[in-house]
Amino acid sequence: MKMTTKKIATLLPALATLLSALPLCAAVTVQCPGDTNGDAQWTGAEVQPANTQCLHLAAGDGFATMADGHLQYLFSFKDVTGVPPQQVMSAGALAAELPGPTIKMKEGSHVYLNLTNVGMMMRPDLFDPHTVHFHGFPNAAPIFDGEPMASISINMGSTLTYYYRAPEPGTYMYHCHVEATEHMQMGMLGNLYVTPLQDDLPDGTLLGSHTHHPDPDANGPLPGDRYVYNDGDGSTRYDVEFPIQIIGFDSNFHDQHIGVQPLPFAGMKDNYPMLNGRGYPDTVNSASLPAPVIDGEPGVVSQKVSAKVAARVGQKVLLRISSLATVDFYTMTVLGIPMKVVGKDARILRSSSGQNLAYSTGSVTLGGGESCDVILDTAGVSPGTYFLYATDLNHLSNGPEDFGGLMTEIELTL
Amino acid sequence: MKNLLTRCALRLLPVLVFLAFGTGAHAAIDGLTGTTFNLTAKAGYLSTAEGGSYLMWGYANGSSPMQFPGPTLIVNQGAVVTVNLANELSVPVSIVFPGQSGVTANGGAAGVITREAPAAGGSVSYSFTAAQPGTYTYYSGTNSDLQVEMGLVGALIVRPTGYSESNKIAYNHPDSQYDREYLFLLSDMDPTVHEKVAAGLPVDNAAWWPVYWLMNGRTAPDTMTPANNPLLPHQPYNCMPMMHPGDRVLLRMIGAGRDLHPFHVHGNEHKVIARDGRLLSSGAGANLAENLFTSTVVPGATSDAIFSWTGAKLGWDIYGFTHATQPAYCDAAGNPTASYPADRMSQTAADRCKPIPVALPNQTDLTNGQFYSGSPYLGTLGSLPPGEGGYNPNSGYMFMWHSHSEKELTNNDIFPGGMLTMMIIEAPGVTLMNP
Amino acid sequence: MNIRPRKSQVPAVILALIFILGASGISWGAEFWLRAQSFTKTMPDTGEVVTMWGFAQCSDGSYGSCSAPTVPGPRLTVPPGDATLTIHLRNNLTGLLTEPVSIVIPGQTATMAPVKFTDGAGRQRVKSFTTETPADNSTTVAYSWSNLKPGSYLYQSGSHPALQQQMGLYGALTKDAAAGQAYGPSTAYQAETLLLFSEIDPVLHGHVAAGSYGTPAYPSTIDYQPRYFLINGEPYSAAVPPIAAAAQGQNLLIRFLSASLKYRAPTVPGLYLDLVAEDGYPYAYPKRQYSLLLPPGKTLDALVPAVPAGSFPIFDRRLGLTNDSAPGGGMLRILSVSTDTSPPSGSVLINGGAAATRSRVVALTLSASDLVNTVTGMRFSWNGTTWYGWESYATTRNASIPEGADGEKTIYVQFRDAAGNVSSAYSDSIVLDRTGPTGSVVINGDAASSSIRPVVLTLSATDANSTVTNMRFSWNGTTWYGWESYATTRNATLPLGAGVKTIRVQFRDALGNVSAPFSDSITYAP
Repeated sequence: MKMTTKKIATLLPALATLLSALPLCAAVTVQCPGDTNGDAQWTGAEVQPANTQCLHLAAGDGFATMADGHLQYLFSFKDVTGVPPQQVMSAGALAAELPGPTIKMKEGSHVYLNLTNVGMMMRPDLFDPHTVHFHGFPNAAPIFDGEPMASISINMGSTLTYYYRAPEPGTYMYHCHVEATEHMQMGMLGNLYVTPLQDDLPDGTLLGSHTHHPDPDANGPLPGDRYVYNDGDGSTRYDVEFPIQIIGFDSNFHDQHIGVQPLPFAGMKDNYPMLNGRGYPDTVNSASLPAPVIDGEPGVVSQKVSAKVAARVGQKVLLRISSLATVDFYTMTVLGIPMKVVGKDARILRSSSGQNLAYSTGSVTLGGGESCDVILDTAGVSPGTYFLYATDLNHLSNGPEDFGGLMTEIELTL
Repeated sequence: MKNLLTRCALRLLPVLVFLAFGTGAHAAIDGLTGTTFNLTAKAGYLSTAEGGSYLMWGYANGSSPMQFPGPTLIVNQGAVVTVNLANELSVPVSIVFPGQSGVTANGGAAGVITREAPAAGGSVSYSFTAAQPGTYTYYSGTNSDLQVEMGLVGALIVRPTGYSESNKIAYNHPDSQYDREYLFLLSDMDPTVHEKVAAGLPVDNAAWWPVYWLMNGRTAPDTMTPANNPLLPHQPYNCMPMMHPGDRVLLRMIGAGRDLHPFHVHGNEHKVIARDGRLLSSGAGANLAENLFTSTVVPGATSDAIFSWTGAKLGWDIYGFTHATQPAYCDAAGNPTASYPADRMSQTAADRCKPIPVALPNQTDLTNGQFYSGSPYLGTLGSLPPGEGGYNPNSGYMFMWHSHSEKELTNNDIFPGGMLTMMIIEAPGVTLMNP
Repeated sequence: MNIRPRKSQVPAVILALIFILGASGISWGAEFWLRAQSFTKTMPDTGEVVTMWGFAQCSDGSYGSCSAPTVPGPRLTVPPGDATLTIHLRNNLTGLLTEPVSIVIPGQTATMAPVKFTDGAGRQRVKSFTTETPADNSTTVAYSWSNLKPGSYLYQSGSHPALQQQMGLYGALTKDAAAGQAYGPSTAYQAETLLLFSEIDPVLHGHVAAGSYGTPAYPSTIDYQPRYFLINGEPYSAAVPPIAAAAQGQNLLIRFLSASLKYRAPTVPGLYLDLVAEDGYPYAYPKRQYSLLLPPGKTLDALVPAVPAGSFPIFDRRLGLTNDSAPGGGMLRILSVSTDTSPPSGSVLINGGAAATRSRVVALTLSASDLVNTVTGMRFSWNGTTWYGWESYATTRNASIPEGADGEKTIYVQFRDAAGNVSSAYSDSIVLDRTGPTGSVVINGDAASSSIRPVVLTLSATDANSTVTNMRFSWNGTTWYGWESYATTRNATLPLGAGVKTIRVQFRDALGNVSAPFSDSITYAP
């Protein structure tokens, strides 16, 4: 797939045409209580109400670079929280991030997620609406569930504000559900998790035989007690957390898309499997990857979420693993450190009679739409480099490139 | 690409007819009851929603036409079950009954896995005692890689000793109590296998590439048309779960194909209470049950799950009752009065009479789904532009239940389709059309 | 390769090694020598010749005496008492493509030294999870594991895993917690079958053989597509015999391991399996299923308690049932469980073998064993004809002798095994004696009177079921002197005062039964 700078230059007028073709009432309208200037955050005199979070995501298209250098066209979300509403369309244009921005919620918060559809710059022939599906939220209502056939989706140039009270804590995920096969394969996916109220208990609270210390060295370097769930006994306590989302790209599908060709659904086969939007060894780069280069010109930095895991020996490491792959199941293993599964699909593993059902294993298997919480207890483990990778070994590839794919590293230091 | 709603419209018209006028009461899980079953392995054609037609081999009920999946056999715990298999195909066939112990086979010819009914007129008879309640499956044990793909698979349900119409339980424990039950027999299909069999050519089962995905034998949106739809004479079962808030819905999930499928339910989690016909238990009841939003359905395996929905903790009144719209139900302070309808109390008490805290976009800024009622409130019809919506005549809440390997939401390259259906939550008092 | 149920797990070489190490004071550990080798495998049904990389087992560090390489590699069994494991590895891969190899055992603890290379963009990538053994057929690298856990594991090459695992560099490693116990008493087993599921993509192997793997013709494994589906290294074909898995009533342990790259779904239509562990980690509660999801690299341990007799097909329900395109093959086996007709044998003792008792409540000691499976039940009878119901086998039990006359009482016991075979009746007897002796006492040879106070008592007593051991006396029938040893004569002194004097005597037997008083009188006429 070749994109010439000339082609991009001709697209900017196309953007203008696109925007002027929108209905007159199409507008970016942000709803966020206490926010008066529409940038979805509270600055200056604006007052943030208690237990309230606001976000603004722009849904559109963009590019990312696979670990073997292959450029891929994609759809996804960009975090435009803080961008004045009149600048959102241009800030979001061709700026989609892979994965979409990680959304972190506090249990019980009133969450206002503003979704603005900024259109697809590279496909001006398409008028796709978008949604955000909050995957796994219990007792959802269709209006905010983001499944477009049973509710509404937002057209280009406009904003839909979702409202949720963040539900039970755990590891969820989010994605666009419009024309799900296409939009999800194209990358409209992201990590989402909810932290428990137990994290905010006063210092010294007794939880069974565990004493809660949220900040053991008073704002020093030691991470404090945090928990995956309101476990009541400290059994899901962790020190450091890493959301890791498994996705896959079918490079032929993405190449056909930017080439304005019919989309090959029947032949869909993911050949670029990724963790947090990257193949190995980019997974272990702690920084954002360099901006994708589109025919010699740098675009917008899009791959901002690392998959590198780092901890000190003795710490409990939480891996919030989710999969939004559209084709395959994957099995993830850590070589050298036992994996303890404490939760699945945002629910603590506990019997109805209160017994702890967390279990140790050598690998976890996830299909699309599944999540699990794995704690690695590094007490007694030697410092060094360990590997979190897929036992579907042929997916240790970046397409035609060997020694890649679904692998990242866990760096344990003293 | 936004090109599919028009393609779907023709197939969805039967949905509209069905939902508007109903078909009268019928059992939510269709099947055959009794203790002796006469099945005939025969050929027929399966219809896919984008217009495909493929040769299948299926178990028919006696002289009735081929059906896919085979008839759901519903028996009572402790019954001695006899299944007589007659074979009209040109290859030997058989049946295995995973989960049943001591299955005896008589007649027919010896096979590698079990006794078989020889080709073209042969027969064999199987017998077993259905000792334990639960959800099971049956399928061919002869050249299973070809014959399961061709359609020789079905469901077996054993009702527990304590089951009655007024006490619907899946196992002998109240943890398995339900109000409605639905079958989710998930399968996958590679049409080239069927075309080669139809043409008498050899099949390479190691080169299998599915492009169809089915629920109870149908591709979406046919999953949502009535059972025994005359347009689908060989696919009698549909997959259209319906409920009221607070109901307990039993999902009987069966992996009937060859691939794993991550089955995802929108709307709420589901509680898996049993696998392979055994309660997840360490003693009493389903105390080891798992709450999942997506179940991995494994080929050959079965699982039972309970789904419920109340609308709790949403933060706003799901019926749209506020002081402005219903002053009799909601006082000026925004609290429910004593007149608040008693049958609409499944949601959290603190949420009653609260308005939605955001404004929804203007009609011109949004796209309406064909199953949208036009209103965010349960049981309320909203205004929709002409030609939009209309497939939700009772304004229920509809949630997509589907495979989360989104590739499987297609019919041979056409989106939408495949392993997808819509579950309807109707407002209290609305008669369910597919109970 | 044929699978036979394994009883003795420890090869002679290892036993010898253990003795040597034990004598030198080194802590016990298992030690093996393996060599990676290229070889060709001819697939049944199709005759296709496939290049494989497999492990061969060698007898010692000289690598002078080695078995042929196999895929899977040789099964390594570590005895229950061994806490450490050392595998010495040599690499004899040959052909147009050779690579360094290594050994990792996911789930077991080892110090690993990953090896990385720098790619064209300056990024580091791992190519081996631990120290490499170069393909020079001379360097020997020792890999060690400590704190070995019981369970079922895969040992495999940790180098270029995407390629080397598929080429065949893997095998099974097992260790029990104790003899006949996989993880502990709740996973005790008498029979075991190991099923290792794997696949072959002949196109991938062909490129390795031709030296074109890693070239643009076949640059990575992303297009992996298996065409052969194997259990324990072989697909099913008519020539594959059933696996003699167990005898009826035994607890059968089935170890499932997957060296496949795709998901497998083994199913056993006629049985239920209790899944007890995965990856060597025992579950808190068993999961009772007839189907399994076996993901790539997974191990699952399943127990079938008291397996019934019969033939049980076990096959992959993901339908890996072809040999290339030929049907009727793949991941299928028949497990055969033989009928067991041999009953248990045993014994019973009442009150530890005592000869007699004066109480109807007795303590039984039972002992029974079964050659094939386990003793699960016992039942009792007091006459050898009418039997009480079957109860769970235990080694101690209290019993009550039925009401009736004193005398010899016999308890009969039968034992039953897990297959339902009933033993002959075993018995033990004891004498029930609740009655005291009978006897008599005579003063002065039955004289009518005595003019002096000293007299001679003549005593006689017998006991029906025991011996007379003691006697005691009283002149008034109320106050008794202490128990003394029984004797047939005894001097006594008449109490003061003229008149009739009556001596009373009670006898006591060895069990403590006391007789009624017997008496005799004489007139004291000073």
